[in-house]
Order: sequence, then structure tokens, then C-alpha cells
Amino acid sequence: MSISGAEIILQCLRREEVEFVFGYPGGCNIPIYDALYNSPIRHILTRHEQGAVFAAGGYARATGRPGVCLATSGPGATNLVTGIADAKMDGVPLICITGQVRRAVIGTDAFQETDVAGLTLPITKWNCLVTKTEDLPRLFAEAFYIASSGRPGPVLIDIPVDVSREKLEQVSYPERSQVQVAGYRPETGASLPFEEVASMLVASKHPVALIGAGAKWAGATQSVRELLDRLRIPAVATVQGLGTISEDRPYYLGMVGMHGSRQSNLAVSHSDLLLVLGARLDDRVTGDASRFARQAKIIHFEIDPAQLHRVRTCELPVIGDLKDTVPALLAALPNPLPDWSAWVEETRAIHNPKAKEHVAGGKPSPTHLLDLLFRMIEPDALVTADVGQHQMWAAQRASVADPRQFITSGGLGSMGFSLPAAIGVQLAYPDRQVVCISGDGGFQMNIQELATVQRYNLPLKLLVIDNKYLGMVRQWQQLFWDRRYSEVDLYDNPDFVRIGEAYGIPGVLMNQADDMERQLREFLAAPGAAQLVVECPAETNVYPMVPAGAALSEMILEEKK
Amino acid sequence: MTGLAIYFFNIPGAMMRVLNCFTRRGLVIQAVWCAPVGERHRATVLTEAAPITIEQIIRELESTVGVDRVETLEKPQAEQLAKVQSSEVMTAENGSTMVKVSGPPEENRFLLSWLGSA
Repeated sequence: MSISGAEIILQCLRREEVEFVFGYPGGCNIPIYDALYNSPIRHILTRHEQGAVFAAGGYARATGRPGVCLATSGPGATNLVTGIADAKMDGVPLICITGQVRRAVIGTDAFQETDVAGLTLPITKWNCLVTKTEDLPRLFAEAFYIASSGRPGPVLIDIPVDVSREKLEQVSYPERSQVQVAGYRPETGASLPFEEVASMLVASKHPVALIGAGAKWAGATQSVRELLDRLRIPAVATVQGLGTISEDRPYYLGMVGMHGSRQSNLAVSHSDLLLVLGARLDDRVTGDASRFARQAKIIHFEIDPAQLHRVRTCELPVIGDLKDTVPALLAALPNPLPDWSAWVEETRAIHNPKAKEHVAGGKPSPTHLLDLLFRMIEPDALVTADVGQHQMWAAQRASVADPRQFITSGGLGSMGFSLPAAIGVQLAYPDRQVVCISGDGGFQMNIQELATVQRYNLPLKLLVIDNKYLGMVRQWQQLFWDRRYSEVDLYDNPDFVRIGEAYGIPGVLMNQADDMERQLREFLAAPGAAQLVVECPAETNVYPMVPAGAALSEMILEEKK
Repeated sequence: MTGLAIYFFNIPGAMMRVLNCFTRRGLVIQAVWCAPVGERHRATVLTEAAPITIEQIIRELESTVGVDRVETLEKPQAEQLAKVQSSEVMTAENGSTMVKVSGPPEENRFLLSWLGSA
């Protein structure tokens, strides 16, 4: 019996145990949609391809498994670009499938033709244009292997419509264990310097551990916790590493970086040894790289050599998967270890100032709101945050038990991420509470996905923090551009409650602080999807803040008088 | 001038990914020679960049899907290669035809073999 290219594609997805495909149909992927018609794989129709790719990203970030999205050629494919770049920056496994014009007309500027492989080359870990239908099983197996091994990342398979339509008499599918890609060796077999790491640690007076996303992607969260419980040194986390260390640990100081806690940033600045576990050390974490942890030697545990020495040279790289390297380090540690409790006490004694807010007219304070939210959500709730001020306020307060519970666009900082990502998260975990936090700017970038929430009856809790500004840009303009507020004023925002209602999602406006707790409780307890629009004071800022180009120790802690 | 010899498997897109490691940083590629060498391809790329940038590029190349290994050329070798012009046909003093080729000899082995000099 013959089988079409499209059916082969779906068979490949089933072999990889794909549950959901997030997508949008068009001319060049019709054969794949035709095959989906009778497929057990569940297709989620978003209202824009960017919604599809962010939803797939949200699914991947929440589950650790590759997210799959599907778009047509030309504009369908180009609409995926931001989501692909987002996944590349944060190391998120994505399988992006795009339709392409038929092989005979590729290169003729045919209708809806774009060189998708060319334009996504720098933002994918790997991609290909399928030229032979019989290659599909091998290419899909390679795609899943590459996306989910080593430092995970997005891959893209561009499939001409006539490849999807072509029928083959015989197809063979490679076994997962047989998949090899020439020139790709995600596992390093080199001997690693654990004895040296241990002796550097023991010699250190002021060590600090800096935890990134690597632990969760490696499935090494428990090992990292065990390591830190042994070491008992001050520990800080990047935005993507939040939740790896439990907040009840006395050595945990909170988030590090541009909007990190004062304790975290000063501990790192004064450390003499920095143990980096699965973090890229990007500019938002380091501040001025030349003054980042200037006294410290850096031991950098990292799976991808390309991430080493990027902004600051490290003294000792340990290249490998944290699920292997952290247990090996634990085994190499001497017993007993030095007692660093006085150093922990010293870092904890640093004052973390509470930001003073201008809460005018009795309006709800966004930080107080988020304090309450993280206290009131269920222990296993998943929270997505968009990009901007609300993201940093949320990250500062994200007391979650697991690093997959706080999901946000880190490296790329893609506004419009939160709502579609929450859709992917809720589909992955239909029985868990999922809260989507957005600002008024980012919410409007993918607001059309409210239709997806409604269509699939997802019980998402949509929290919109509306300060009628592009708040983070406004904050920069206020602090560093003499309050010249250029094109950041969203005074004419629509009525978000009515928009939600038009999509069938009930909503409530919160514009006074006095009833905050009750409104929040009712919002979280709503049986289905619900929206809470919070009208916040316009000019509240995120503090602490390390200005661009400043050292981590040069935080602005509060508003100038 | 810095020269890097990048050995990679010629899977789709690999050569463009190699070159992108340079161009994404705004570097001008002065010259590039590329040809099969055994089971792999070798791209010899000449560019002007700070040593720290070259180190970053090498690490990035090494973690690029398809790339097998990267070698740095000695500086004099890179500078000599930078002076090599494209193939030139001229008449030698003894009247024979002389073809001056660019790039390392192993990357011109088809031409050299055609000329009977491989």
C-alpha cells in the first residue's frame, strides 16, 4: 500500500510521541492538513503562526519535550521567525515544519515562495529543505535528535508541497538509537577536571553558585539541589534558573542580574570563586563584563562550548551535561568541606531595600499584586510572563517549586510571548492551574490567541497589568533619556475586559487597591478561562536596576527625589 | 589576517552555517576556498578579526552541526594565502603554459590532476 509524504510526516511525529501540533494551514501544507484530518495527533489551530510557534515553545518549556509547529510557505513561515529565534536564544527544543512551493518552481519567486531555510539558518540549530520524499523519515529522526540533545534548540524542516503529495510504495523508519548526524557530537567523552574543581572550591573563601536554565534542561535539578545542599555557599539564579533552588534554603539569595536582588548582585561582585552551572552569562546577567565578579575565578559548567568565554573568560570550563557532571563533582568533593556559613551570613546581611512606589489615586500596586498572586496560586501552578516591567516584577517574586513553573522569554525578550506560550502550557497540563501574566503592550501583540483559548476551552487565568505605557522603555526614557517619553504612551488602549468578553472570556477590571485580595482570589477560583485587568499607576519602575553598561554592584535602588 | 581551516561534513546548509559564524559578526571574509577533502569538506577562510573574536568563532564553529574540527592557520601562511590571486594563465620563459592557482594545493587537486601535476 502506498503512503504519501504527508502521511510519512505524521508517522514520524507519532514515532516521536508527539501529542500536539500547533499550526495554521495554507496552500503549501494542505497535504499535511489532509493527513491530519484522520490523525490521532491533536492539531491546535492558533490565529497567527507566531501564536503557533510560541505555543509550541510554551509546551516545550513546560514539559522538556520538543514542541511542534506547522506553517505554510512564504508569510506563514516568516511569521514563525520570532518564535524560532526565541527558542534558539533560550535553548528550547522546537520542530518547525513549513510548507514550501513545489520543487519545480523553487527559485522562480513563485506565489508564497520564500527561502525559509536560508532565512532561518542563523536562528536554527539545524534546518533543511527536503528534496526527496524518501528522505523524510531520516530527516525527521535527525531533527528530533538534534533539537533535543546537547544544548536544545529549534530545527526547521521545509517541505515542498509535491513532496508531501508524492506517494511511496516502501518506507523505512530509522530507530532512535541508530540516528547519527555527521559532524554532530552532543556528548563529550573527554575526561573532566573534577578534582581541580573541588580543590578550587576548597581554596575559596567567598564562593558563589550561579544557576541557569541548564539544570532543568539536563534533568539535573535534583543533582544541583543536592550539590548546593552539600556546599552551602551563597547561590543565585538567572531568570531561566528560577525555581531550581528552593526559597527556603538559607543560602539562596534570589535572582541575579539587571533586576536581581541587591544581595545576589553584591555577593557575585564580591565573590572570589563563581561556580556557574548551566548559564550563558549574558549581558543582562553580568552587567559590565569587564567588572563582572572581578576578583573571582570562574568555573563554568556548560554543555555547549560556544557559550563559554563569551562576555567574560572563565578559568576552568567543564563541558558536559549537568546530569553527568554535577554527580561527578559531588563524588569528587572532599569530606568535610570548608564551613562557608559566615560568608553566607555576610551576604544575607546585605539589605535588600523594598522599592518605594508612587501608588497614586488608590490604584493597585503591581508589585503588591504579584506578591499576593505568588502567595495565592496553587503550589504546582505554572506561570507565564511576557516581556517588560511586569516580567521583572514577576521574576523577582516567582517563588516556584520547580524551574519549569515559571516560563518567560529570556534571551530574545519577545513581547507577545506570554499568551500563546500559556496555551501550550495549559494543553500540556490540563489539570494544573496556569496563570498568564502580560503587560498591556505585549498582550496586544498576540491578543488574537484569545480565540484559541476560547476554542479549546482552556481554563487559563489571564492577568493583564495595564499601566497604559510600554513601561520598560518608558522607565529607560525616564531614567536615562531625561523623561523624553517618545512613543511609549498607550493612553488609548482598548477595553480589555470587553475584548475578552467578545471572545467569550469573562473578565473583571481592578482599578482600586482596597479589594485586591478578594478580586484576585475570585479570579484564580474561576472555573474556566478568566481575565483580570489591573489598572496600575502609570509611572511605577522596576528596582533594583543595573543601568546598561554599569557593573552589577552599581544598582539604582530607588527613585531619585 | 587570520586563517581558519574548517573541516565539515557537507550536510545541507553546513557551509552557509560555517560562513555565517563570520558574517553574523560583521566580519568581511577576505577569501574562502572550499573543496572536498576525503569524506569531509574543508573551507579555508581568511578574515581580519581580533583574537578574542576568532576564539569565539572557533568555539561556535565547533558546536555547529556538521562541523568536524577547526584549525587555525599560522599567521604567515594566512598572509601568504591572502596575497594569492585567482587562477592566472601565462606563458613561461621556456614557452610552456603556466597556470597559477589560488588556495592550498589539496583544494586544487582536481585542476592539478587535470594538469598531471597532482
